[in-house]
Amino acid sequence: MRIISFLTSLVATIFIVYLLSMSIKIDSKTSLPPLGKFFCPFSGFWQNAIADNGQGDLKIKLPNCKSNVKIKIDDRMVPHIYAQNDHDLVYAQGYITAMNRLWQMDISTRAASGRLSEVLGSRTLNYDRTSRRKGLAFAAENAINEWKKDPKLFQMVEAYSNGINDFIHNLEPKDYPLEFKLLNYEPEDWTPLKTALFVISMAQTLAAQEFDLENSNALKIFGEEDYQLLYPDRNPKETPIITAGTKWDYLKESPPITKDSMDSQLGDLFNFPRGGSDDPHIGSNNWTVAASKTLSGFPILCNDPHLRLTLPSIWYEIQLTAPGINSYGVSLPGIPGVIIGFNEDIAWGITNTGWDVLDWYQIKWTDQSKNSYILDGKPIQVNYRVEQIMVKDSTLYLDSVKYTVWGPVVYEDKKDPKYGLAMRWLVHHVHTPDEMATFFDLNRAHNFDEYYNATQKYCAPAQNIIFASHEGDIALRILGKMPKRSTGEGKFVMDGSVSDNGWKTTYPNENNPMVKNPSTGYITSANQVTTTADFPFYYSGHFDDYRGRYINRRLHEMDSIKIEDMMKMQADPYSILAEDALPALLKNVDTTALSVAEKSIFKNLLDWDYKFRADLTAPTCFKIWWDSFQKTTWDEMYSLVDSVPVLIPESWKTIELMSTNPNFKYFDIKTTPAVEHANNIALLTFKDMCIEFGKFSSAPQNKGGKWAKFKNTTIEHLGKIPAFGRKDIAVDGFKDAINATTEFNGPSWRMVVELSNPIKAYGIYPGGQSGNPASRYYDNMIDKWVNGQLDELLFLKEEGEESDKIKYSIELTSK
Amino acid sequence: MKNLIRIIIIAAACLLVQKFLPWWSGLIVIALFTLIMKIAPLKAVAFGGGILGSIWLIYAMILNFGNMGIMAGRIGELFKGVSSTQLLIITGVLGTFLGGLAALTGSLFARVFQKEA
Repeated sequence: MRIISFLTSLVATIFIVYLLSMSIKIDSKTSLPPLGKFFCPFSGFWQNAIADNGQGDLKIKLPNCKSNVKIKIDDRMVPHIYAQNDHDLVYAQGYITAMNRLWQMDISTRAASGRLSEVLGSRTLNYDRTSRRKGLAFAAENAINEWKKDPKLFQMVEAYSNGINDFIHNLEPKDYPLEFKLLNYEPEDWTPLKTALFVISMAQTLAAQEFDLENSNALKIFGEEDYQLLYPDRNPKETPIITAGTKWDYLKESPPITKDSMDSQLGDLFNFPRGGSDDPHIGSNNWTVAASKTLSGFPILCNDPHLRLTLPSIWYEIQLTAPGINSYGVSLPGIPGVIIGFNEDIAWGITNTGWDVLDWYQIKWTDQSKNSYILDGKPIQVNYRVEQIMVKDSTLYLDSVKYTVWGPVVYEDKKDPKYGLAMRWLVHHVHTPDEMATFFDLNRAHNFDEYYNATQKYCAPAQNIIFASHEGDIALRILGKMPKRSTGEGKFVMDGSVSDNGWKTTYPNENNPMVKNPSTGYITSANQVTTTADFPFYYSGHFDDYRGRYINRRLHEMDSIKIEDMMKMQADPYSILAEDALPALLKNVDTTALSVAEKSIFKNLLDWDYKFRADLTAPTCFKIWWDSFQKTTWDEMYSLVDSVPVLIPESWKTIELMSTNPNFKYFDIKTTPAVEHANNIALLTFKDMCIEFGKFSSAPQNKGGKWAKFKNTTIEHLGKIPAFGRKDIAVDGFKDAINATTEFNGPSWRMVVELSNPIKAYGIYPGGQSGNPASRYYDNMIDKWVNGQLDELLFLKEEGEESDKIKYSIELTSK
Repeated sequence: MKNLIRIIIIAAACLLVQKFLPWWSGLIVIALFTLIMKIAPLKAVAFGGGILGSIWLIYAMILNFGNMGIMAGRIGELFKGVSSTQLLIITGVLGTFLGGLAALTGSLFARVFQKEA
């Protein structure tokens, strides 16, 4: 009897402990962490409830540290690293970044390599499959193979890995970052490959913009004449980054023989949904003003890269000091060095070029087995790359991806014996042994020549890298390799059976467009078109240039510029899109047809100053109206987008047609018997907007329809755990304003640097230095960021420099 | 007095192992001590539950206080609006339940070798 009661109790205890050690699946998207382990205050989430109110100095002995490294932590939790050699500097950067952002580093490289399902289960299988089909890991492996050819540089990448790993190896399970505990998995070692994966994932965000299928379909559906009219390459109002009058006499090569891109047109419609493509409106601003335009007599440089806003933030602030280097700025958790920042002599910043370096080729299979395809009349075998995707709580998933001369076959229709689209991406093969030297050298550059040499080494994703120096130079270059394309190449899906249809090589970096010390006294880039039309080499891809035009206009007007003026400008929510579109829309509305309520909305818009302020209602009305006007005007395209991807004309084109050609045939709504013109559409969509705005603004939670509520800016947690994100952020902004804050994207880092002596620098990002959701430094900068304020950055000249802002220090010593 | 000493010994041993060993290690300590000390089942449940529950609760409270409740706020939101106090209670109750269960098992095991009264 007693033995039975004992056994019952024993089995019950073991069973309950077992249950509490297991993840419990609630539905396909959520599962509970092992509750016993998670709630136990010795192992679970309570362990991550750190005090972080200025702990005492730490001393840590580490196996791979060569000599003593001192890391001073300031009151914004920014580490200031003092190392005695380059190896230890990179090593310590890896160590301290892992200390604050380990889970972020793990999950972001898992996403790039298609390994999310290993820890998240079958719900991310499709995401992983797409990452693998696009060959992100393939590109990273190619990069690593190149990097290894420069052993000295590769040692730096390895030192960074070792720093991260020495941190990981000192962790007990109770110390794991919270998300590891929630998702119930363990951190794994970092490798140089993961650094490469991080580089590739940035390229995936920034250098994968293309509209090949959309262009091909539009051409097929609307015919060549309408296509040229609806989708012109250039906006007559544009203000290219490299301004008019720039001489191209430094170019060392001539462009390849021009072919007519229309020749390689294919007859088919590409009628499958694209899925998974990123928001193309991830833009950025940077500008610099010369000494002649500033009050202090020193250049000022500003940068605010717009990315998807997440917690933890994509950026990690850091100061790096060792013999030959003292740089400060933001780094990417996974890549050594400062990416955007400054040192004692120079400052630099980046924006995306948006160049199209990703092309699609239709493959001609030799037969239904699809093991070979035709190239220049001959059959060629595909290479198989077998992707093994481990899926948590499930079986191993195998995907055999076919590689052609162009690249992987990403889209395949199993039912169609002929069908297959191969992706050619510059980033797959562009890498060089010394590409990682770019930021390594840039951090150590002291003048224009050194900046120029550093930027020679970079490959991808192509960026506009802006520069200013204490000596007084200002400049901007294109950072990255430019494929040697024939005119029009890459705009449409191309015939993959002709090897001549693709670029053969890239231009040497000396040929990249550049501007230095222009007579205007300022340089601007905001993802608009890079050069004027007279640039001899063909490239394509850019964003609309409302931001660029506005920055140029403002800088042209300003003089005796102060740091504060620049900060204010970075937060400016004025938009030229509204300035151009709204008067044209209002002019087209017959006000006699409006009710009293509609007239008051009309008046509200008429009085609006085109600033997308959080507490106004006019931006909400404008946005609803403008979107609706475009959707109704381009009903010919919007009615197709769900079945056939097709390009929508740019907004400047819509505005131009409304003003200059109001009877244009596309204004007609196809589903009505009447023939509509621009004014009919304007009135119709205005009335629709009034109804929609009325509905939205009358909901009690929407505060009368204020812009902040409509825009609904949200900073999501990287793992989309709502409790770890921040929603309902009442911040000004619009995608085509300098302050380009939208629902999920926005200025991910704002920096203003005056190249005086000593240098004056300010910065902020919508997040915090710690990746721990329980830390005070997880999201402490968001409120200031919302208000457009920047923090003064503590740039210490030397290790011995005292500052009351230093809260504690960490000393790394060799074991 | 004897009970107090017992409590202090068990609590100290629990703290020690929990610091270094997996989350369920405290349960083994409690089971072992109730076994060695031959504590009667009901009393053992009260002892084990009380000790582990208190340790879990008090330690969680200390961590929560130092953290100014930020973590509790986040986790509470994660569990759809559980308050910080409720989270602490859950932690304590879970510790109590597990401690009690472990103590009962230890005590019942001891009884297997005792003569039935």
